[in-house]
Amino acid sequence: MVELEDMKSIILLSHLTDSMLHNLAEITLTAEYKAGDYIFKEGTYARYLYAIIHGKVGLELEKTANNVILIDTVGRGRTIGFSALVDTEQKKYTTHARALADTKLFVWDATELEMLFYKDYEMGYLFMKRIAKIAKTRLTIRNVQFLDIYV
Amino acid sequence: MVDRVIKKTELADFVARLVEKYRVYAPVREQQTTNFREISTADQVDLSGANTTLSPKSLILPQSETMFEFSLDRTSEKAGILYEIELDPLPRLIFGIRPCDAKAFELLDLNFSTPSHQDPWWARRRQITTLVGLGCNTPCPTCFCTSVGCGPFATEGLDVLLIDLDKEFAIQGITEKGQRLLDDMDIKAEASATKKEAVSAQQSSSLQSIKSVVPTEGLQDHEVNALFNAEFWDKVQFACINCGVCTFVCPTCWCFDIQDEVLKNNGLRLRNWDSCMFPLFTLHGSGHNPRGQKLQRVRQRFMHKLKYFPDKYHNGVACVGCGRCVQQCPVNIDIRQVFLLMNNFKI
Amino acid sequence: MENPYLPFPVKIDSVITETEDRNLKTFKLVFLNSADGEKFVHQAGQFAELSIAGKGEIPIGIASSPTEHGHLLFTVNRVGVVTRALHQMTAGDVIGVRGPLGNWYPWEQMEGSNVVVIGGGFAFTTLRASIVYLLHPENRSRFGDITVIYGARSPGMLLYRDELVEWNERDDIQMHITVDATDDPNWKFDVGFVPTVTQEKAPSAKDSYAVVCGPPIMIKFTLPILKELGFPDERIIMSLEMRMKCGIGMCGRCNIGSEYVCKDGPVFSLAQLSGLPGEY
Repeated sequence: MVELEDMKSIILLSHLTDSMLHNLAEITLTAEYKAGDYIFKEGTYARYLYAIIHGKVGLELEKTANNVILIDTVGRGRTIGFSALVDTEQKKYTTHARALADTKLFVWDATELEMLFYKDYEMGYLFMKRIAKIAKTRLTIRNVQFLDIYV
Repeated sequence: MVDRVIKKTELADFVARLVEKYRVYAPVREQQTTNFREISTADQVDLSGANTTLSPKSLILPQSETMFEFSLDRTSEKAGILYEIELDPLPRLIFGIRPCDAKAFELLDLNFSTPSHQDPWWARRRQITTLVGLGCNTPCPTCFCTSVGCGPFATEGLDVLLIDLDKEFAIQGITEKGQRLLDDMDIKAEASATKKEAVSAQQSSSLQSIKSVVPTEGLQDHEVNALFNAEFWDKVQFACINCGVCTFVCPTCWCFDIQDEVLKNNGLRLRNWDSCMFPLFTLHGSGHNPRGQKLQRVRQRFMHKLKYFPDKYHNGVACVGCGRCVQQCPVNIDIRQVFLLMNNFKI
Repeated sequence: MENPYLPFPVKIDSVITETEDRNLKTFKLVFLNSADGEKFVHQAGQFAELSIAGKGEIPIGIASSPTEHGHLLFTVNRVGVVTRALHQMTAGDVIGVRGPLGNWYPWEQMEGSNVVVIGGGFAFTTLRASIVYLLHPENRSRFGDITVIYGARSPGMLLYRDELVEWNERDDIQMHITVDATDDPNWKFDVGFVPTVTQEKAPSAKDSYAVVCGPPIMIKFTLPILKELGFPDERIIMSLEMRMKCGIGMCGRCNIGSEYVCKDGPVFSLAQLSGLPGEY
């Protein structure tokens, strides 16, 4: 059962109207992961987009086979698995995502999302606009971290 | 009150008596320049010129001063510990200081003698120094003292003022310290009406000969960030070569640096004049520099004197109108124009 | 009046290397003359000049809390002549301390309020003093909730790691520690940028003060988040760094407009700073 209130706590969905959220709810699933479980792995087919209802997810990059770097921790309200929506040719996740605590997420099949967007262009526009904004914020932060700011 | 007189023929004797009691510093001509030097006889003194090339600030704030001494000899218990050095206790007297330079000392007191801290060297030298000033009969074309709360015969900061009446000096004892000096030196009171007339005639002729006037009345009303961001700084700073001569000759520039010097196992902690014109002045250890650009440094100097200082102390601008920076600047940056730009600034 | 330029002689009691790059060391100093120690009464947020005879002086935030007696702590980054010399020194060596200098975080004003401490990198020193001060039994009840957000490049670049772990286990302080990235499989804190973490943890601005100390770029990105959360400029408290010499407002170099960072600061509210030229 998908709660409207839970959906409203997701930053990505905060610009959608209630009727858009109702339509979205029809294709929204939830999933739960125990601490330590992988949600997706780098390089695998990016089928799903996720948003965190509660818990904490770590994004990891494999530098070499035995050297995994934790590059971000993502908490309540934030979204992971963008590749499913924007990386239309490769459609591969670019990091591992691993639950760092017991975590509950919304799950959307990207194909179903796109079909919904074809039916409701306005919603598709608002949704993708928000994706772009989140991506831009992350890029800005990466730029700053690239400067090694704490030194 | 001008109530005493000394004949110029008596000057040598007067100076001789001063030298017995004080270290006496007076303007001494050295080829192209005149500067304050310690003197022993009156014939060394040159009061004929306009003001000295350098201000007398070094007599209170030496260009380089030893603060502490220390040993680095690790066999000694005292190694690495700093110790104070006895300051020369002999009373000092600055003879022939101009009213603008005396007022500058008063302004610098605001920085060096604060409610929370006293700079010990500054305070001690101020305390043991008597200022015998000389009024200005022939102000320079660059003098604008009357615009900044001073004047050719202003007495602020002086203990005694001498007024040159051709064959004699009329003398005004200003502070108690000054009166005592005159009594000690046995300078007789002589309150003749003709002397007073001569003095006021000289004073008004000097005042009339000061043609340089700068406006200051609008400075305090400007919002500091508006002035800071004004476009005119780009023009003001354009020609500046950051040589720092303006800060070097300025009687109200006091910024200093602290450095250690070591020879073998003996070391000194020194303080040296510094200058806001130099990028190193504000360079952080990290490499960041809040005033790394010339414009920022030029703006800092003028903003400090004409805006920050008056805003902080409510005691007028940190400029006494001596005109030295105007005379010495190699690229003709003129603080009088900056007064005008800042005072008349409109957003 | 005492000579404000004369350092108190102190002995280095111990040296701790704080970070994996070995550029940050904490020096525990003990006064040679106990009378000097009694005169040295500081508040969390103040700094002192460390003096090394023959090398010079450096202004360093006091990392020990006024509630810790008998010694002073200074965490020093190795960057210039004096800090390089200091990093070569060991227990038993004699240096000088001059202070305490500057103002401090407005504890009296903050009394009764929640305190959000936000720090980054090696600027965490006076924030450590503040946290130890706040957590002291005499003080803890005088303040509301305490939230700490502290970021560094990597776990090995965090200062005071043992204490961070200790604080994290307490229930009267909320610790949010974050790094840019890590390969430590046992890392149990956050990964991400201080402003992002601040946004995600969203400490309430109600009856709260934010005490922010860190590198300029971290502050630049954190301030808009604090404003978004509803912190007014008067309750965003910052501590600034400047090149300093005298430490008592006389030598002229550390001014921002009419204010000297060494004497009128280093602590300013954002409201105060916005009335001054942005030259820092």
